[in-house]
Amino acid sequence: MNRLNRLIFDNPLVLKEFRTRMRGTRAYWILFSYLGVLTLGMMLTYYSFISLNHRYPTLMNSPTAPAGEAIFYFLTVAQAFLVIFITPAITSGAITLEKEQRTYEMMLLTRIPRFDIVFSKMSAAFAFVCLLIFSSLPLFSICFLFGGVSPGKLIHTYELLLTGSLFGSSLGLMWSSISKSTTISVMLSYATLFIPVILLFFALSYISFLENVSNSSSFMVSLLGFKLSLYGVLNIVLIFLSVILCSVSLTHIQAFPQRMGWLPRGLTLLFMYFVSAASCFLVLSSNSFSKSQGPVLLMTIPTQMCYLLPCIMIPALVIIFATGEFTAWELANIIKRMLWGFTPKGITKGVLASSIPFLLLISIVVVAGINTGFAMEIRHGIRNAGYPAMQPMHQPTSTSSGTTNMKSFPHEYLNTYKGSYATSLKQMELQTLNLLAFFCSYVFGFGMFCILISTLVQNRWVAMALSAVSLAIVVILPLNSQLNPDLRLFLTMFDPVNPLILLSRSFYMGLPVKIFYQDSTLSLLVAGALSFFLLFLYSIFERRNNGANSVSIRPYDEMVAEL
Amino acid sequence: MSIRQNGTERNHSMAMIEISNLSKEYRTSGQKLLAVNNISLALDKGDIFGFIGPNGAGKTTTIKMIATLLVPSSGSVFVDGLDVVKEPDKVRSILGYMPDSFGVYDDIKVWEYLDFFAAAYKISKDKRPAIIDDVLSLTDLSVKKNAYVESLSRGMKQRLCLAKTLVHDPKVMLLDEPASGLDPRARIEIRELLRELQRMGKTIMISSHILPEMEEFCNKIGIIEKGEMIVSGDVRTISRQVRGNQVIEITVLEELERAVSLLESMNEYVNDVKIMSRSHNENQNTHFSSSTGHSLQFGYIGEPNHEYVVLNSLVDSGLKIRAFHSPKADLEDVFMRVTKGLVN
Repeated sequence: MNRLNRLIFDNPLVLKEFRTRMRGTRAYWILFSYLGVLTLGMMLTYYSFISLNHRYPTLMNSPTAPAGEAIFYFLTVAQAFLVIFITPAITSGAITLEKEQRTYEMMLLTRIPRFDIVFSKMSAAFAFVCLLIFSSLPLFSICFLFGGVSPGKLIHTYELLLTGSLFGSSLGLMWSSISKSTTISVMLSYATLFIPVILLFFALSYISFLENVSNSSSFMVSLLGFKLSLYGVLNIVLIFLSVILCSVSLTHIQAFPQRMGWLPRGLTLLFMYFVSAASCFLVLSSNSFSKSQGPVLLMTIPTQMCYLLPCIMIPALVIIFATGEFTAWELANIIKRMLWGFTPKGITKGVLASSIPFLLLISIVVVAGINTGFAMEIRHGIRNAGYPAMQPMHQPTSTSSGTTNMKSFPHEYLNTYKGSYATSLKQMELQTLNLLAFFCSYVFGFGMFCILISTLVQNRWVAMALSAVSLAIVVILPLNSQLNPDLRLFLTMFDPVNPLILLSRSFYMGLPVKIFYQDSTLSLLVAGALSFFLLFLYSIFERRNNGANSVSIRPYDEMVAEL
Repeated sequence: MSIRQNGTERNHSMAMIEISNLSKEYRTSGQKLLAVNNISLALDKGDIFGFIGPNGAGKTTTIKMIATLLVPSSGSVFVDGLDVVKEPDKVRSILGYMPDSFGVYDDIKVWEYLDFFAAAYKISKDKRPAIIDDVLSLTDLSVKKNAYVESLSRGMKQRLCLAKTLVHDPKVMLLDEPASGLDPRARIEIRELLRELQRMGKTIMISSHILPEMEEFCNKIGIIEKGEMIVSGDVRTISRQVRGNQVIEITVLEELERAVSLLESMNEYVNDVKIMSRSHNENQNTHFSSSTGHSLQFGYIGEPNHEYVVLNSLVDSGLKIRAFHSPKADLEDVFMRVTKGLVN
């Protein structure tokens, strides 16, 4: 309670932000132009509708409802764009401006905890965006005048606007805490905002498509035992991402380089688990049933789509985590250092040496998440996705033992109607073992490659760009041997050289070898080993260059950073 | 595992700031830069230490390490017996730091600015107004209490920043170039303020490259060059060390030879008499002219503050003396002599 009081009511930063935010005319001009743009657009939408109605009076049967809908969609989209582009602008200067005004160090030396700094900056930005968003509420009320829009839809829209702005502001804050100047921070914020915005629009169109097909505005899914609307899932993802981004800024706002790498890393693990479980769920439940129509497939999405999201996210995570810089001491003791990365203490530190073990952990967690998604789908998904409509098709059940019925019901139901579906789910669970092997070798191969590149160029951002470019080259050119028969033939020429294949040919080693006996996985493993070997050679070369003495003692500041 | 390399244990001396074998190395993308190299220093309570050196010598890096903004690469810093690396929070609460290029927030009033820092240092709400009034009157800004910060002049901003440094009543103050870029008047105001703080018994560390100012209120100085502390200690001791003794310059209208012989005869007060007759009006007149006077320099080795004895005896002997003074830029001279080899 005391802490809450300090955080909200007696927080000097919050007080300062609130005082200065609304001072002067700037804030009011922003508010004025924000509402001005929305009002103008709304009027244009209305007049275009009127003229359309005037010219083709028979086109619409209800005179006003389409107008309400049109205005609603315009307001939603316009507001979403405005919010998405205003929020990072507010926060991307939050820390860099302090750095530029030379107040950053003075602020760090006061006794404000850094959590409070992040909290205050976020809450100040979020409060201002809330002001903008809620000031447009009267405009939305005009939609209700025309009809055609339900209050539930409005609530969903506002929820999404709020979580979206939370995401935008945390993205801006993260770049602001990392970069040195506001210009760079703003540029990076908008550049990185681009991808999430596109993904968000994909997700929204997917949701509206599902809603249209299932003909219900609240398409509920059950996720890890909780019943959620699709908007709810999206909100959770956005909030989760915001928390991760805030934790990243938390690790950067500090005087001493005592890294709190465990926080973003732990949150990322949780997030990946959630996302991989949720992605299965969304794909699988779209293949199940709607309330009114019973057992019809809404869409025929291939079930392999469940792997899609993790498969996109893991390369991105490899590029993010497996780039960085080794210090001279680390490079000189590279093998010892990489082994230290596998210790529990090593994994929790946000350092380059422990990136591979951490990414391996992520692969395991992702596969576990996918398995959880499948298991939950079997247990809860079908029960919750609109069961009452299925009851009459089933054998008459006694009403007295309703609870026991509900428990046994899904299984019976599965056996009777959708046995093949459940079997295919179980087969997919087995397949995930294959997926794990692929992810692990991928993380090792591509991760080691990224580490090698970042050691050679000694600049994290350049290393990130180079790794992304090389990934793109590999994806675009069909270097994947399974796609290109010629290349496959070429690779098999080297087969006798590969000890793993020799082993698998000589002995029957069961599942492990079978899993790895794929050309693509094997080439990844070879790439990883090669990269590590080159890294080792480079470290020996550097050691010769610098002289062993200069790197034998570890600098004190480096050790402090790892305490 | 002990992370302390040089094994220095915390010793219970009375030193407010104790620096031993402090080094800082910047390692960015393969390049190494030794910003501070093996500095040792001890300041007692009430000391005012002048940290002098050219730009880029490592003054700011050292001060930042004391201020818990940077971790040393090796060596240790204790402030009031607290290790800055191990207990940064405790150190921060007794330490006031004024950065070289200090900043103020936009759209904020003077008292709000101070209130912000007072709250940030966890001073309770009811005590803040009194403290703000105190530091404002100390820094002579009481009339500007409700003014906006950006409307203040540079000198006033500097004083405001000092006021901000004082809100939590720190024992140790680190002032990084507090007088840079100020006009003479503002500089004098800052100097008065520092004298006031000295009377309050604070340990102050001031860095500067403007030397004559430091001389007036520092009791200790250290000269740093390329990361190394060349000399440090008491101001007088250092100037004596470097120069040997106090130098006095006199100008006589005529009878230069007699003055020289008179001075040389007073060997309990005077040594090393040098004629510098051409030094005075060289720019205006290339030929030596007797009307401008002859100047000569001698070293004073008598008791401190008894230079007048020499002057009296010269006047008594009927010499026409135009000037009798010691060259002004005392510390500058020390500085130039000490850093001669390293600057070029």
